[in-house]
Amino acid sequence: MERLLEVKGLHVSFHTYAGDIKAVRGITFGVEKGETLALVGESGCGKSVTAKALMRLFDRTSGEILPGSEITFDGTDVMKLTKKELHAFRGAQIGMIFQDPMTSLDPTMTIGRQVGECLVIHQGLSMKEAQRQAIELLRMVDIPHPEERVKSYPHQLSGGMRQRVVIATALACNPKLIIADEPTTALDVTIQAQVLDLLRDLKQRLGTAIILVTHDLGIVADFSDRIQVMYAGQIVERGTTHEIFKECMHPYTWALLRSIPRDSQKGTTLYSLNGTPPDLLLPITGCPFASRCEYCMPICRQQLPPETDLSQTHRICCWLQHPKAPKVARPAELGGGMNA
Amino acid sequence: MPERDTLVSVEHLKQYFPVSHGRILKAVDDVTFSIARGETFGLVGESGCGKSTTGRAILGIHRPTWGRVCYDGKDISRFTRAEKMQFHKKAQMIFQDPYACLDPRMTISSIIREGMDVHFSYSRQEANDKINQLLAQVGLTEDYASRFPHELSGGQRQRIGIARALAVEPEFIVCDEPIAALDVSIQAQVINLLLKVQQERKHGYLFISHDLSMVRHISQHVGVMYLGSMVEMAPSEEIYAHPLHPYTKALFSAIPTPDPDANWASTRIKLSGEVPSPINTPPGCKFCQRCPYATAACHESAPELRDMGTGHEVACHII
Repeated sequence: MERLLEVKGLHVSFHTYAGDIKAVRGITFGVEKGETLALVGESGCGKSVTAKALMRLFDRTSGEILPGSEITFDGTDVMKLTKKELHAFRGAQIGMIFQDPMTSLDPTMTIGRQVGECLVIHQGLSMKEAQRQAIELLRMVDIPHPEERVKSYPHQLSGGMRQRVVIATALACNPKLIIADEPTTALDVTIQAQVLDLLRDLKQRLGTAIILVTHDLGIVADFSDRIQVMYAGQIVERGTTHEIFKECMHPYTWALLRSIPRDSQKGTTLYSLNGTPPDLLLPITGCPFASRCEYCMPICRQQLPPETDLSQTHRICCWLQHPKAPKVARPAELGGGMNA
Repeated sequence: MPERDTLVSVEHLKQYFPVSHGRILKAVDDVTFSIARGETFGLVGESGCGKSTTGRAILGIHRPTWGRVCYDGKDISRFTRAEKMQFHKKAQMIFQDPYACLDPRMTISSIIREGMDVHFSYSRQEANDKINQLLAQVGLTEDYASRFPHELSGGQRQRIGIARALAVEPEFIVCDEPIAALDVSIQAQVINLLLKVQQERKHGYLFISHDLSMVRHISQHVGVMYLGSMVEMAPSEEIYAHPLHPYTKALFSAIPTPDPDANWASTRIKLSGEVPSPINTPPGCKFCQRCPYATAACHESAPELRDMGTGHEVACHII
């Protein structure tokens, strides 16, 4: 395996009148070539901000990637790119699929021009040649009658078809990495299944690495190789898909998995997390999850837990992993048991 | 079907909307079902299948094109003025979007109070006590009464939407995608709250949702809609264990399973194409264009709901 993306100590803040919102608080992770990494968490946990930061999609006035953050993509230091170099970098090296296909397509441009635009800019093709390639791309994402479809406008397509167009646009320049930010949230279940099939198929055929940002644990189980669970701008647990679903040890991951209704407990009270995530305007001392955690110890409120290795791939930020901490077993509905 | 204490019955409901060039959009096309007191009826389907329109028609927000909705045995379109007033007290709605359903210029207490002022004659003190009691019931403190909606998070707003519906002491609540806009952990909180108040007050719920696992958790009966028609209807245990209609099977198998060993992608039934437009639908079964088992008969006549025993009804020619 070869490292494609390396992120070190990424901090992102948004400057508002009320103060600085620290959306991402010093996260470090990497993506290998061809692998699928999922960022999972509730709204406001910083998963989308992380995804946007990789392409530096903030303007100075709103969000800022704080100095000291390092993003290295395939040998390029993304933080050092000039405006012009960034233009050449975005789209060509990393493709992006946004949540809402309604707003990520330009309503005044035909499908063909939108997909081809990227080819004209990055590969210097003529408009005519780009159109021809756009047809091929639309065929690749299973859009029926691509020759006619290139002339239609986004409003003439359904939600699922629009999302396919967005995927075709992201793939146009053969990027090495695709960031999919909640790609199926706006779609119906049967269409969601179709789009996921398409992404899975393309991933295998083209060997593209994917960062999937989502809150839906169901999608992740079947789709990703590795998972990072985020909470209040930090990665609280990371591991392979199997490790997160079967051997997870962080109380927040437990809570996420337990709040999915299971067949056995019909009509009974569902497990629910009390309280709300911490206010990102304020500094967080200790573990960000401490106030909602049922296993909270005095140290959790005072000091940020260090990251502990449970296996080569499985790492967790939790004081319960400390040798002196009481041993807590996984909740029964998640299979129970300890790891070590 | 065993005897039930029927609260709401929908009989051959059709809801058509005229669109341009004299065409007709058939949002709901001949739907019949009933909801018992204290029971939750789950209505599932993809967007545009007419589930929200059905919910709105039951509350009298739309006037049905055909068919009727009966509440407690009486046709709601024939209610007198006084009866209508009573009906609006008894039947309430919880909306999908907690950001759009609360007036941003009103405080939480005035939002909750508005319905109470119409239906009850409480004194100021009584009303305040009632508001505090409702806030406590939905898990919020008294301090929230003087706040404005923008100060609240999505889950808290949805609780206010529920408190507002409960304020007039209804018997029946239409929950139109109450959890769609919320996070997983907050979803569980709202569902628990709905179950709790149902146990206390024996409310009937029409629970409209596209989240099939939540519907399974909360409902006693489930109806599956496709393009304005009810394709399958059964007690919830039955329908999840033995779905019969090809669409129901495909819909259920399209839910991703949160288990990496389930091998979801290879076991599920794949549907090609998308839901066709509900404008000028051809005769025959509405699902026949996407159905892998469609025969000539399916293209010619529309199947009707047939009881397959144990209250399991399905509309399909090939079963």
